[in-house]
This record gives sequence, C-alpha cells and structure tokens, in this order.
Amino acid sequence: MAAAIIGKTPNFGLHLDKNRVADYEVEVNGKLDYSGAAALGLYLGTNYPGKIPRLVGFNYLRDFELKAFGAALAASSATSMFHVENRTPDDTLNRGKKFERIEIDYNQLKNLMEEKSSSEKPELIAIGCPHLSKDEIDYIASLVKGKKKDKDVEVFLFASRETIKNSLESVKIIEEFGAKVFADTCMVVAPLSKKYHKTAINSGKASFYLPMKGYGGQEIIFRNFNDLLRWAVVDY
Amino acid sequence: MIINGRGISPGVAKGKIALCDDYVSPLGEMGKDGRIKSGKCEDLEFKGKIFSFRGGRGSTVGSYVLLELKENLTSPIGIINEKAELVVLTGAIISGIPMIDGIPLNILKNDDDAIIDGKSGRLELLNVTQKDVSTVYLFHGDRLLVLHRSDKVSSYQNQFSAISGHIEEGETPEEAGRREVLEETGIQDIEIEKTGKPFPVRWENIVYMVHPILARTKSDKVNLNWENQEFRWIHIDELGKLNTVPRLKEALEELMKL
Repeated sequence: MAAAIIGKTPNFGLHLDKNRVADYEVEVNGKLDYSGAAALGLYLGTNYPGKIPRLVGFNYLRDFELKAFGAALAASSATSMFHVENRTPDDTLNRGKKFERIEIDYNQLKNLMEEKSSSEKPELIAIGCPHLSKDEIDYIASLVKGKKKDKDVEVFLFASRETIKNSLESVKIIEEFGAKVFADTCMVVAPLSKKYHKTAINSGKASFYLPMKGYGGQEIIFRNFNDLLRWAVVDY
Repeated sequence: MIINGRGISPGVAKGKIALCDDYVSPLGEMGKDGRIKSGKCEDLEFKGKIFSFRGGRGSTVGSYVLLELKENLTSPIGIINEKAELVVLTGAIISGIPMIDGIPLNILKNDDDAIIDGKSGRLELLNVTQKDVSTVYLFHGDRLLVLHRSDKVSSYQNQFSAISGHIEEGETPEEAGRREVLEETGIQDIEIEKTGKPFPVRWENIVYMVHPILARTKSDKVNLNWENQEFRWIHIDELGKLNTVPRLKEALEELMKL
C-alpha cells in the first residue's frame, strides 16, 4: 500500500527478477485434487521453507486448486511464490536452467492429511480458506441443490462480498440447503472455537492454523470436499 | 563476544535470549500471554526476552500480532532471526521492537545475556567469550586422520575430531594448524591445500570460531600426545558413524566443494 501511495517499490526481494527464479522442481506420482494440492503446499512449506518451488506436470490443476496450494505453502513457510511449468507468467525466468528435482509419493500426501485428522464426526464443516471463487460456489451449489442438511452438522462457507454478490443464485441454493455463507471474514481469524471444537476442512492453510493452541486447539478433519459432504448431506 | 549481523528495526535491546530453533508464525504460534503455543518450542516464554528464531512464516496478520503483543506488554523486547522475512520484519518495525538478522542460531543458548543494536546489526553476548581455533583435516592418500579426544581436554571429551587447537596471539590459522599437527601427531611434512570460511560452534560459554584447513601428508606415522587417546585413518564415508565434535563432517564437505 505504501508503494502505491509514493509510487516507488523497494529494490529488494521478490521485486527483483533474480530472486524470482525457482529453487527446486517438484513432481508427484499421482493426480491431485483440491485437498491434495493443499497437502502438497503444506509438505513443501514444512520441508523446504523459504524456497521457491517449480511444479512440473501439474498443468491439469485448476486455478482454485493452485490457490489452495499457494495458501498452504505460504501458511507453513515464508515462501511467497511458486511456478507452474509452462503456465505461470514468470516461468520464463526458469527456462534453460537446471534444478534439483524432488519426487513426492502421492501416498505421502494422503498420509499427511490422515495424520492431521481426527476420526470423530465434525460439528462444523468450514469451506473457503482461502476464500471461495464464483466457480467454487457454483460447484458447491450444484452438489447440494435440493438436498437436506444433517441438523447435527453446521456448514459454513467463506467468500468475499464481491464474489457473493456475483453468485447470488448459487448462494440462495446453498442457504436453502441449510449452510451459511459469510462475507469478508476468514475461518482462521473468526472465533470458531468459541462454539465448535471439531471442524472439518478441505484446506491445508486451515489445517495449519486451526489446531494451534493459540486458536483454541481445534480437532480437525482434513479431507477432500466430497468426503466432507457425506457428513453434511442427508442421504448423500 | 561480539558478532555483527544486519540491522533490521532500529533501537537497542538488552536482555535474556529466548531461543527457538524453528520458523515461527506470529499468528497462532505467539500467544498473548507471551509464550509459544505450539510446535517444537511450545511453552517457550518470549515476553520480555530477545526472541531468537530462524525466521517468520505464515499470515501477514502476524505483523499486527506483534503490535498487539507490544500493546499488551507481552512482546519480546528484541528479535534475532537467521534470515528476516517481511511478516516479522514489518511487525518489529511498526511495534518499535529492535531486530537484527544474519546471526547463526547455533551460537546462542537460552538465557544468554545479550545486547542487540537494531541499527548496526551488532549482537553482544555478555556471558560468552570467543576463541579462534584451527581445525586441520589431514589426508594421507584418500584416508582422513581422526583423533579420539581424551577425557583430559577442556572441551568435547571422548569425541572424535580432526586436529584442532587454539590460535595463539600473533599466529595465522595456517601457522596454528601446522603447530597443532606437530604437537598432536608428530607429523611435520604437511602441505596445506586449502582453507575454508571460519564458522562458529558453541560449547558452554565459549564460541569457537573454527578455521577449517585441508592438508595432505606423505607420512602415516602418528605419535599422539596427551590430548588424544586414539587415532584412526578412515575413509570419509565412515565419518558419519563416529561420535564427532559438531559440524565435523559438514565443514569437511563444504571445504572439499571449494
């Protein structure tokens, strides 16, 4: 913000091309979904803190899945950027360079999610960390349309006010189902743990923060979205 | 001892070190009561201390967490990082907490008495003295000489090391290295191949600044003095299996890369 006000940017860090080059390459021997991409972010943030990864063979990931990856990476480390081979704009900086290649076993990521997860039934399912995009809200609406929510489980979604305004039809379907959609707040800073102690999430970033004792030490269940819906939807 | 890092957030802080050999997310991990809430350093009190950790991580809300801690009178009085990043750096500046980086954490211990100057990057450890030592990695062909230290030496008793000793006043590290080789092994004909960048190692209230030296000899006859109980000519792959002084293997690997 200060840079915008004075019209100058600091001559350091990621403002300089030479600091934006990847530090290593990553491959996974399996296809990742949203939560898998988030788990990969957690894994890399924890094991290669501060290093910029270049994802190789991940062109199938959708933008919102990369968003989940980046959020988990930046929560668990001080890594502020990543590259996807032949996709992200600055990947041109990596052309012709050789990198150390890390190969990650798909099962390692599955295990990481399991290790963080409690086996108990959640009191709350919280989705939208980082905030949901319109595509994601529309997709969720398509899954819960005309369905009935289990009364023992709350479902909270988080998105920006702007996105909600642009997705009113889907938001209506989701609210009819019985879930709540919150604008401009975040499950990590909202005081969820005053009321809920077992929260199911599909987010690597939330799986990093919510169990912390500084947040009331939530028990979490870290699964992909479809698995979470099994708890929320009657006759899923 | 005095070591110079980089100044990050101006001001001078004097107090005890609280050490966490990990990355820390101020959001979630630094509690309002002035203690670390989770992870490897759980329960460590940073309130009123010079909080020393590898670097920040996590949410940019972390900068405001530091400000909130400061308002709450539960913040650190100073911060030392190995490598600063923007979250903690911004938090330190807006909260007026002196901060420096570029300090290797392995020279610090909990409760050291320290003074940091956030402008110049200077760190002074009041209870710690620095001693310079030469460490000679002596090769005969592809074999490295390791010495099993006796229980009479003043530090690292009964551990394996290279040939090591204090650099006396007026001596260069190379001269000290030659003298130590002669004293500890009786070997005279050594040829110094290269010297590496000095690195610090903490032992009790001393920081040894180790000057690594790679040298070769044609002789494999060793006459030990009182400082060592045994010698072995080993292949460098065997180093990892021995109980050695800190960083013996890593420093050799770095030296060989030069």
